[in-house]
Amino acid sequence: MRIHPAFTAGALASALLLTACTGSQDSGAEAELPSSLPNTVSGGPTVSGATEAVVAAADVFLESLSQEQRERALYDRDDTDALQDWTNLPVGRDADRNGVGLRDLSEDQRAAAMGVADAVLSDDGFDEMRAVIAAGDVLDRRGGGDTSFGSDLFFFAFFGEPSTTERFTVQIGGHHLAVHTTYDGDRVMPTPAFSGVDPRAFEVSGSRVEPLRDEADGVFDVLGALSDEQRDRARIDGQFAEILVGPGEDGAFPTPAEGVRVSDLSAEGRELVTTAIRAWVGDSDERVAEALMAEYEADYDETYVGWAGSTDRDEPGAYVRFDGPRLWIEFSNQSQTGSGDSLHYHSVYRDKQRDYGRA
Amino acid sequence: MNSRHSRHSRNSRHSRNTRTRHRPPLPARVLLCLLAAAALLVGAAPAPASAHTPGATALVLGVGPDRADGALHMPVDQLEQASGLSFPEPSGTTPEAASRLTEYIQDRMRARGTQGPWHITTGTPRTSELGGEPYVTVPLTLLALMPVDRDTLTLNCDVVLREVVSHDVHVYRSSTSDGAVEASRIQLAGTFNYANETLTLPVETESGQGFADTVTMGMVHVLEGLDHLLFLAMLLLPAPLVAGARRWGGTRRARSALARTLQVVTAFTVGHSVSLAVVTLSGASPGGRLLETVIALSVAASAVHALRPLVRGGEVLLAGSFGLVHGMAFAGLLREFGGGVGGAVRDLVAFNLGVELAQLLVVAAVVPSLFVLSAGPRYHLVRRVAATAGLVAALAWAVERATGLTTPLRPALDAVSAAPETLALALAVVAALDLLLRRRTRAGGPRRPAAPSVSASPVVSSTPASLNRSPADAS
Repeated sequence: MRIHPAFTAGALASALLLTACTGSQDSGAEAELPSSLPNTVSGGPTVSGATEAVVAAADVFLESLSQEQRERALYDRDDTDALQDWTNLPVGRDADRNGVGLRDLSEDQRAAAMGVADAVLSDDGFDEMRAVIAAGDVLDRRGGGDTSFGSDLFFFAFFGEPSTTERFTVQIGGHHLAVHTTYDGDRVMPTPAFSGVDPRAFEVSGSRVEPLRDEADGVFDVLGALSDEQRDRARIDGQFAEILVGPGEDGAFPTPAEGVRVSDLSAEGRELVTTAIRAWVGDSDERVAEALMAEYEADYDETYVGWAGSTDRDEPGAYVRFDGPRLWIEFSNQSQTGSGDSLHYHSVYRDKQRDYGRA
Repeated sequence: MNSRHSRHSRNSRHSRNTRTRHRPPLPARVLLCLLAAAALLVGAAPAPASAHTPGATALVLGVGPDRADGALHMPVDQLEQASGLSFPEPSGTTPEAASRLTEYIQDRMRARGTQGPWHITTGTPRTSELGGEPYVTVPLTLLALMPVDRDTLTLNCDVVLREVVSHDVHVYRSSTSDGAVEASRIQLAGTFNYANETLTLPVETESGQGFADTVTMGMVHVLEGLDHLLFLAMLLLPAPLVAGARRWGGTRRARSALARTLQVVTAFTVGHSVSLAVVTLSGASPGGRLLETVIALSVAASAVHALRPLVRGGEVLLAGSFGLVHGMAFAGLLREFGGGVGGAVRDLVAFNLGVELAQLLVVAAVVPSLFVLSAGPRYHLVRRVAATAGLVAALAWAVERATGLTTPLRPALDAVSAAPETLALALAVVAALDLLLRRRTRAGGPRRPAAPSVSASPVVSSTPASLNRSPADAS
């Protein structure tokens, strides 16, 4: 094998070069935020505008697909078995999730797919999602490549044909990401939504991104503003290494609610709760988010904030929960990481009464 | 993704749905994958980055009528957090820690049957590793205190979970009693978590429904797999004929041909029953691209054999040996769909019964047409056209499976795959046309004392084939 030594030398040289590059700074080629097509629909400040924007973006995306890809992307809207079969965990490089994966799409098709996400989410939500996707590349690089992580391992599925009058659900899934937004004419429901990220902070094209910074700031600011007495009352028994109502646990909300009532907090405390909740709810289209925030705020006298493990944002095992008659948010500092950092985030936002748009 | 076996994980929405119901929830499957990968790669690689979710506890039990044996595998970090005990990695467990751990587990596990509680004994804890993460493993034995006949075993286990509310304790039924976490031998039975504190296992798998399901499964897998159908068709093509040294000769007597057909079908079933049994019961997991390619090549070989006999009387031998190969590909499926590894033998019988039934269905659909055709003058033409088509399809598969590429034949193969019954129908139409044409020829031509029927045909194999055959020769 004459090629062998030459090949080895070449590989060593490229490895050295790579090390040198990554040592100095993260270049743009290594981690990039996925880009999206501009959406031509800009509806008014009504929720029905939100549905139209998503249908328009979905049409562009579905049109761009081959027949075979289209069939893989589209599910029967009542196929709840498949709809609820999602996970935030990595599933392996070759395994499929529901729908079509970015890895199987051309550059134009990818942009159209991201256009759907752009339409479903608010500006903040879309930026957060792009960064969570980009974090996959960071993990892949730190893992030496060819891992179960990467920005190409995110999937797009539709349960029901996108329509401004008929019910359908957009499902976007991957490691640390699950978007389920259901549209039924003017009614829009963006849960269950999983968001997590590892590493917590990293560089993209030379600038620092922290995808779940708002969420972490939000919950720990709430805990920090509690009085000693409130902090004791808000403490939930037991340890939490993970969120409870994750994938596969649809509808399994523990009862009774634990913690301290939001309406018992000071005005400043309630403001902080609103800011924290908005970090999740506000990831959806702004119009949808406003309508939902009004509902959740009206429930504050039956909504509880609780914590376990620690109130320190840098402590693995720290766990925070908002639990209302409809609202359910969990946030967890995970002690293990794939990035080598000391901890990373998992969180879920659910609506106890309306997950997957079910009334 | 061309093979029948992987097709189930993707294409048709229907099979996806059916499959979803059979599958454990995705998180549990992910854990199982991690555990399986770990079992294969013990210490080979640094801790896989994918293991960065909090480890779950695995309770693995081989359940018999009045006892269950197995082990409890708990992730060290979670167990230490929950119990306050410590398990330093190099030294493993001290007697002190072992006895306190026993107490900890005994306080958090309950087992009871309909006749009363089962007694739980724990063995000596040892440190272990799963998914690249350090674990503590404790052997377990559960004994029924009262003699039982048919029973259910109701378990409660909140080890780690009582303190770490987010913890999952996955319960796996195993075909063995050593409690080993080996994907091929265990099957998820349920999960204890914050929302689920009780799990009931049937001690003896109910027969009946499960049996019928597995029979159906066997049938479906024959009928949905074009490669299997084609393989069978290629073997049946020359069944009415007698093999010469290098070519196909005259037709057999009807009874002999029917016997031959049954021998072929049965030889195949016996072949794959053997490999299916060996693979399923040994827990080996062959498969993948190589096996799928070999299967495609076996279809090609049977097509060549239909063109020219490879071995005299070779269909039975071919069918038997290729049955062995096809059986290996089935085995993984059986494990995935099977209703409890404990019932492996029962599943095997049921599955094979289904396969045999489906094959007889194919025989019933194809063989009458072949017999009609074989009585006429155009059988060799039909046989050669069909065998050539089969050969081309089989070679296309072989190339696709070996290289992972898609050949231009793919749309045609997919179309036929979707409705294989059209092939049998087409054959029946050809046979009917042939029969009509013969009647007309006979009516118009000179009267012959006997129809060129099955029984009157000369047995060509008795004349040794010469190398200088005339172009008009049958083969």
